[in-house]
Amino acid sequence: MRAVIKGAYQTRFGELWDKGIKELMLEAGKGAMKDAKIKAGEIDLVLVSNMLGGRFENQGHLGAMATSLLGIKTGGLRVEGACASGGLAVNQAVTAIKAGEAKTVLVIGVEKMTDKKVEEVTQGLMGAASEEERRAGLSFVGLYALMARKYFKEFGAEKKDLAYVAVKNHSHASMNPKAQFPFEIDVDKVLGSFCVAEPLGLFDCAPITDGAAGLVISRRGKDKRSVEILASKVATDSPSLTGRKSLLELEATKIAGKKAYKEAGIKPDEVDMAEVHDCFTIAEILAIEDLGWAKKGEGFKAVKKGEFSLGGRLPVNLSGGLKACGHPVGATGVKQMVEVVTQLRGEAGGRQKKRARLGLTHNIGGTGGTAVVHILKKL
Amino acid sequence: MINFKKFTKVGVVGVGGYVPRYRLRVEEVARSRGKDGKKIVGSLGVEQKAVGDKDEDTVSLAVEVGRRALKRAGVGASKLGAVLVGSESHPYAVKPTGSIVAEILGVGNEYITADLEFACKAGTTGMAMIAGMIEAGMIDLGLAIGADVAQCQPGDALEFTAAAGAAGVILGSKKHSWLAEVEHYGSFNSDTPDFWRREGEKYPKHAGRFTGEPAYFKHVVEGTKRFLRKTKEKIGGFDQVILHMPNGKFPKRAGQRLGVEWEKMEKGFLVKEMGNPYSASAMLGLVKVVEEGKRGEKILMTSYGSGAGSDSFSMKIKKNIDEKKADLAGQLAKVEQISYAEYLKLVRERNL
Amino acid sequence: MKSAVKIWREKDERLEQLDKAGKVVSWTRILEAPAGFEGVYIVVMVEMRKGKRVVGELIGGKEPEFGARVKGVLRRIGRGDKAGVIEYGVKFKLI
Repeated sequence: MRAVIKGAYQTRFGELWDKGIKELMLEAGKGAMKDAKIKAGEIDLVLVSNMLGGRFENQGHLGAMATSLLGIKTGGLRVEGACASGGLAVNQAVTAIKAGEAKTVLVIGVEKMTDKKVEEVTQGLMGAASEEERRAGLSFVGLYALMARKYFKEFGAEKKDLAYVAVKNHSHASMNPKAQFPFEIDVDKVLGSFCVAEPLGLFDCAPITDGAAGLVISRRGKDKRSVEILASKVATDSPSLTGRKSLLELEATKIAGKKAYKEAGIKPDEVDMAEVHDCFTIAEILAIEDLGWAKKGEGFKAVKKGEFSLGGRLPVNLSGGLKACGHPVGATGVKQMVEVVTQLRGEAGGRQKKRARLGLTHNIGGTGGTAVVHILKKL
Repeated sequence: MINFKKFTKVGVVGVGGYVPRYRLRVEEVARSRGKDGKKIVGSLGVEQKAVGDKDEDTVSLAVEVGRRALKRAGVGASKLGAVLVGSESHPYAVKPTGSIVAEILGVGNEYITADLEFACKAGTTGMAMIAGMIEAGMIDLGLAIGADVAQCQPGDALEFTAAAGAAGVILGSKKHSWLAEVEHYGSFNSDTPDFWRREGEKYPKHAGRFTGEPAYFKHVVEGTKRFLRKTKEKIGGFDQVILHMPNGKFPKRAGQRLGVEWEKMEKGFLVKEMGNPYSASAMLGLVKVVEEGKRGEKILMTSYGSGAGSDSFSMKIKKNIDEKKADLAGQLAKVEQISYAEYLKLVRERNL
Repeated sequence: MKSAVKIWREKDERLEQLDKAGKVVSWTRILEAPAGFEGVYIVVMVEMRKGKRVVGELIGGKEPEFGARVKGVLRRIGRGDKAGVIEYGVKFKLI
């Protein structure tokens, strides 16, 4: 039995001072339901993906909060896997449907990050890492910077090579009205930005964002706008960077990717477009390589050549990615699906990949402790 | 009255010193105040002071010297029966530095500890207590540490000299392991308010020129003279003399009054190049003298703590220590100059 | 404020690399510190002798090179709460 996505919706991403976590959940939930043309009473289960609500707002119990906002009393729970929470929630929705426990699942990914100051958010995000890494005074950027520096040494890359990822994603975002930063930038802007953790600068990093996204997932039916979930695979690795085999790859991505390609019965280069987890520019390069679209150490060259831009062989992050569309942590994995669904339906306007049939989403928790890969197909 | 009996069972079995790498020049501080640095260097007899890193405190300094002293002594930490840390900058007002340090060193659970405070003489008082415990047969080995990351108010005169450093001395009862035999101990105290810090106050206060004659000189000179009388020793009988060094002038003047030739004070005279590390001042001089000691040398050390009092020790070196192993001299040779702005940044980050 | 009990319980883990040596595998200079830390500092990933990898601050402020040898020393960790229990742990020093 296959699961399909019937409804998809994303709120604007950005600094949404007027909206709290409840308002965001409600907007995303209602938006997805409207897109799927279903009523609340048809939902069997609500899964909320969120990372920081408990810590920042002292608010747990988001599952019940969501169902009660929608006026229903079905099953509801929060799914958490750091920044992979969204992908994991979709994965659990698929599992529930395949198990026959639910016919229709509403997934809401939500994150409210701008009520706190930057240092507090930085500290909070380190909840995705290990105590040892926190004790070392590392920030998230710092962790990926450790990987970037090693990557530069090993493959002869430099800061400038990472900049092309940010430039590409901003270019895509300039065509996305929901994006946090819907404007283009150039390489100089990236290289001139403040250093945050050497060698990564401000423009190598995804911003701090508020936002939510919703999906209605159900058993396959006759709806023409539905998009099929061909594969939904999860893999994990040590949450601490010190426990990984290599700093140059995310093994969890490789494992989840391979499992997903196998389940979908496709080869990596059959994917038409993808949303990957570019929490930092280096992360997108590693993802491109780990998902099998470029040889290890060659990813940055291919990005520079335009292979992963709109118009290239496999456009990556047409939404603008985490960098330019924004990264409300718990919502990202769900938003990635929303973008792919929009693309496969042919409704992406200026940033449409022509004749998109197969799409892939890649969602990471922490520095690679969790990887969730989905493959979607146009019906 | 103190019994000036000669110790029969106490000797120095290990020493360790640690001085942070950073140096702030007196001229640099003076420049920040629009004053003539050269004149101040001349009047203080101090050129620069040692400054601790943002994450160094009395505990981390004490651990550094504890490890060095244990290594030098060739003794396992669990053999220590006492760990006494004397400091003016204990990290806690309540919770002993000694037990934190002992645990990190691996001493186990069975030892005596409590924090000591007597301005700059807290470390040497710890030595005296341990010597007494060893002589009494209560313990066989004890570690006395004087450690400070000195606090002083920006803009105050103390800013020129208040430094960071630590010294550790392990005393033991086994004669064959003695680097130096401890002969006598004496102390001379009074209630003299020359320098103090109230509970809850961040920085110490001092009484200006009152810190000289009625305080430092009275207790160091009178204390030492009384010590020599009671132990029936002559000043000329000592080869190395270490006096507490709050600056470069006081100890020289005190030495003159006691009739000590400058050559005998030179080896342990560290204040000019590192400032005054409070509880570690005299003890670091002792560590250097022992590390570079020659068999048969007699050592006299008198420390001074404001408030006020002095401790005097007489010792005799039993073993030549391999010159190559003189750890403290090596440390003092590797310094890094910092600016006044960098110094303030370190102080700020340390005190957040 | 970090729990006093947690600080006590994790003591041995925090001190594991004290006095031990290793080689630098990678590093970064943190310019935007997370809450609880202050200023600008270097963090290194070190491969210890037996192959275990650890991370920690590199003291001294000088950028290391790949493969540089370092040793663990005792230092205060983070800024914590002024009134809370102090965390002591291992930072690395170039040797």
